[in-house]
Amino acid sequence: MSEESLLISSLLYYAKYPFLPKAKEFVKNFNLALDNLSLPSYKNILERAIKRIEMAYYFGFIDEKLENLEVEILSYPVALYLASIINNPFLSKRISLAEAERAANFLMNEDDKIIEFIGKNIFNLDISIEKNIIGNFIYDFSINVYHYIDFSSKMNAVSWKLANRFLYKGRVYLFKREIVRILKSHIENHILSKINEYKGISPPSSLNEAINRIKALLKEHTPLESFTPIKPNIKKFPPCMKNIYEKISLSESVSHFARFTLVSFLINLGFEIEKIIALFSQLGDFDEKMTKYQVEHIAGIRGGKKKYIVPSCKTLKTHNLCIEDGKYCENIKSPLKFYFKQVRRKK
Amino acid sequence: MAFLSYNDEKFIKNEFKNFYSNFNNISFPKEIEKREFGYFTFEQNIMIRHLKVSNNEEILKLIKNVIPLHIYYSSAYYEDPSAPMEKKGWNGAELIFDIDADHIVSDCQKEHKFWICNNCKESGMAPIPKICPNCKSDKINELDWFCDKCLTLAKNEAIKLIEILEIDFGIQSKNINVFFSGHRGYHVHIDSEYIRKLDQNARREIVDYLIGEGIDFSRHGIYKPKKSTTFIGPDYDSKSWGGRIARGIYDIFLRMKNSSFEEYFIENLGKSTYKNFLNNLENLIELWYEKPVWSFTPNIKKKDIEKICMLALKEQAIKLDTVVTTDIHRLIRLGNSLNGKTGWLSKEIDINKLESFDPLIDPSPFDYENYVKIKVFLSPKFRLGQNFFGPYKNEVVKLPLAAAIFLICKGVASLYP
Repeated sequence: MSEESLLISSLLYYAKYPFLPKAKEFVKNFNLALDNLSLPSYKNILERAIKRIEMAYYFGFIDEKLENLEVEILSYPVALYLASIINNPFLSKRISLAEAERAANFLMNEDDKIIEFIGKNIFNLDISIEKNIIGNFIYDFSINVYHYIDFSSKMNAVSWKLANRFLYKGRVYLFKREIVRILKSHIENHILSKINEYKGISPPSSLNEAINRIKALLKEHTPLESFTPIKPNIKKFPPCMKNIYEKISLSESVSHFARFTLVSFLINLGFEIEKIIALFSQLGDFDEKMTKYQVEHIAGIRGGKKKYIVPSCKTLKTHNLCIEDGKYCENIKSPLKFYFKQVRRKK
Repeated sequence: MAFLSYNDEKFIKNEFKNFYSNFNNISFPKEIEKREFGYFTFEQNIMIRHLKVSNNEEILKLIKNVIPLHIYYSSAYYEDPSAPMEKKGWNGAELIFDIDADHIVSDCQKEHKFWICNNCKESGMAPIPKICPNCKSDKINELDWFCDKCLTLAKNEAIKLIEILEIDFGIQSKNINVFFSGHRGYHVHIDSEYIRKLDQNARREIVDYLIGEGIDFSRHGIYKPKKSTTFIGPDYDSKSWGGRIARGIYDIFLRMKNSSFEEYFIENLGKSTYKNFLNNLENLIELWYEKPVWSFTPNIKKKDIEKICMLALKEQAIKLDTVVTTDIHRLIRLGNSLNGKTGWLSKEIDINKLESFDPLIDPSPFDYENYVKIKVFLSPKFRLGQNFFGPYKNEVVKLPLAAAIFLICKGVASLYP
């Protein structure tokens, strides 16, 4: 067994990457009987599974809690199982995407060797760690050109075009975040195929309540009229929010967590929901109904009726959304604080 | 078909028949039982397709039996090649590149475009009339000739293509097959486990890389950093497009010394950019001699640099028929079969000998010993091997069989009774 394969053989790694075959083995050995899921002793597993689905559906991401590793690991197949039963294509897609996003966020903070190991052994990708300085670019990885175009030909951004990459002897050079992006797409496809593999299976009656809860979630989805786009004044935004805002305005794709962060930031500043939705209409994957739904949820109008707080600077750092380690922000702890400081200064 | 009379057609078919009767050297495609075959007959102007064979012998038998004017096979591998298109069961396809002199802009093109009236045999150079000025017939046959110059340009594109495939894509030469089309171009075939499965979009990405479509220079290290007054850029030996553009720019500088390119550069760079470079040319050639100096000289402006990069890209890009490469169901000419447009063989070329390959040295499998009397209505001067023929206009000549078959296939000559 290689060093990396030993390293990822721990509960922590199964919790971060529950799609690993070893995590599956762990679940199998746990003998989790589906009929028992409604029992009080499994309550936290079922609740976490439903939470995973809810978050995926509303926000397109799942939080990266690693408090109870066993619950994290076991709730993953349960969430997929519930999605298979419900068999709603949109929900299945959302869950795959959100689970993939969650794993990708963990991967960004892993050692290159772990990324290489997962890419090679789990997804059969011909990737290798290859530090390479070409011109002003410092690359971390290389990937087989055919594995690269298999992914990139589905992407719209010009930066993914093969013609805009360094290609040498059949290898395309990539930054860490790019290789993680490719892995994310493989994780997403893997999860979606797992959900679809068992789609439409009939559930044990003990799960009826859980299923009805999720179905009720899906029904809340209501149509929406269109809005005129607006341009909020962003001069007082902290660099991290300014960056996400500008990217969205330029129709560049940003992570779901970044979207969530910006929405909660704007809501907490008092921006009108309609104006926020208009901003998101710039994005290629814009879904008006869905956006309205999510924004209202974050605003606390729907669902749990709880207004979400803006993620802290610390959280933003782990998600690589913080700009230059906060050097423009004078030791503040939340992006909102930065904004209020700026406003006070102006006065 | 381009034959001028039924007798000509019969004559050529008979010659093709004689040739194929003793010929077994077809370049058989791999896994022949998974390929679709199609051919044109002499008699009908439609392609007979969706044919399958189980082995090499069967395709030889088919050729000897039907005597096709042209014969093709699918780049794709199918479960059932004889089924209708949607039921064939696509199992992958070779990657095919088609380079044709026709797609390459050269100044010789206008010299060998002409027409011939199929009714009264009146002929003339381009522009092509809609109706014959002599007999008013609309049966005007448009003809594109070729010359050593454009055939060499096509060959150079094939060499450039193979170089990028080997260096950038890392494709081993043993996986590359090159064919002269038997007319004016080259076909490059690549097959490997990875390549077979590429879908249309993935093939489009490969094509875009080769033709330089959608290139953003800054992604190749050519840009003006913030707060800098000058550009930075790659070295000559840089990988991918960066190095290729740098080398292309130096090559442009060297050609700028030659005033015969003036019109070309003005057309491609604009007058003011061309003049800017020209005024600094000696300096630039000296500066760029050892390595690219992306600060150029102070009088060279941002727009000049962008324009010369664009021109270098345009020149270094491979000129290929992009539709052929992205088509995953394409029928392509069978290697070592006769091309009915010329009576020449579409022959496989040893990739190591491509540079010295002369397509006209021995293109025809027909002999030079026997002579045939034909009437040539119009033909530019052309070369077959070491022999030059023509130009001819409305004259009866006795030509070696190989040359006569060529002119009859091109539709510019008829057997003379």
